[in-house]
Amino acid sequence: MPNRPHRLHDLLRLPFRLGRVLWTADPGDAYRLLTFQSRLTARIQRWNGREEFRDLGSGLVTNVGVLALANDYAWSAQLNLATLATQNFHATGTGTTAAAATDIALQTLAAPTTATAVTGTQSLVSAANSQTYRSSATVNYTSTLAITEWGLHSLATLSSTTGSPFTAASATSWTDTGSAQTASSATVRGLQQTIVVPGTTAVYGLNLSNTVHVGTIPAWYKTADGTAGSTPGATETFAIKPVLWDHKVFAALNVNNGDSVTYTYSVLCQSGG
Amino acid sequence: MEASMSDELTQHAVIRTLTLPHTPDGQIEHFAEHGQSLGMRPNEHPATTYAPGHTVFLTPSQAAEYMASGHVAPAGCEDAGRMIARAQAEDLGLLESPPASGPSGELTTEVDRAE
Repeated sequence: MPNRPHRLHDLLRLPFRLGRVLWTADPGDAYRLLTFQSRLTARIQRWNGREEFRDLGSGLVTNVGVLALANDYAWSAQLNLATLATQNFHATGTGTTAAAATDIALQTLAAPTTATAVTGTQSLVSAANSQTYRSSATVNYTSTLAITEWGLHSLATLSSTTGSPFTAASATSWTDTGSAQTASSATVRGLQQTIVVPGTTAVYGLNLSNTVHVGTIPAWYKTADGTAGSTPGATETFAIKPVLWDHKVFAALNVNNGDSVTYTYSVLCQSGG
Repeated sequence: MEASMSDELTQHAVIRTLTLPHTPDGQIEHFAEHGQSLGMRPNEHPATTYAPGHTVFLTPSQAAEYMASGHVAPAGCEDAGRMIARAQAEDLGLLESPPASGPSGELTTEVDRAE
């Protein structure tokens, strides 16, 4: 059985709307689902100087985000590649499908973040019993758009096909064409904190380490539902993408050329469990 | 012009601290409401600074420029860690620097010679 907080069951509903009595099979101490509580806000500076503010609500920490987090013990400490340390690159787009924990990229990237995300400013917001990681970035729009999605990434470059296509693939590795990668180590990032996304098979792999020719992943996971995926074909094209930590889809935020929007992302890390 | 997804970006390791603008040439095209181009304007997005050891994806012209200046290791480099150490030693005056105007790959040759 997966190691997860036990479900709480309604045992008794009290009359007069006094509440419920709950029961759990968990012999331990956790009594709630432990999650990250994220929130995204947007401060809009219109081209004519007018200011607006929107609370875009909670985001959705992704499966690939927590996969990267679970490997924090192994990422290069010398390069400060801990997951939240790398998660500082903001991009926005025009996709409208609801965000899901299985997302690995934005749906439709929009200018000026079609290829390169905007670098944010990171901070710790620490208060009694409330510890929050925050990243904030300003996107200066250059055209008329209905912005409907936002994502936080581990790298500014949102996609690269360097070394594509594969020349081999296994359950835990892939091999590029032409030895086009820079070998990773304790002092060289290489492909650490990125994912490899095959062009045909709908799976992804988290790049744990790499030589100039071969990337090592823990497994392939389906982009549809996060379950175990099949090994991609040995000659498929592929793209290298950053780890998407959080993805938020919201009601259209209409912008015009000259508008700037400062996105502030906060994630509250809860204790317990 | 803004770099598009189809631009050929190749992976490099940073050897010396490098600051890159949001777009390769530091400009970005602006558009009016109906799609009419308003021309290229300086890109106002903050540049991203990369420390030695980190990864950058560069266009061919960027790669040529920064390899020549010893700021990045060529794609496919296996010994970027040694190149970083050597660059730090050079910057501290502990080693003689390679010729400033050397062609791309000069740094690799120097490392090879040192071995």
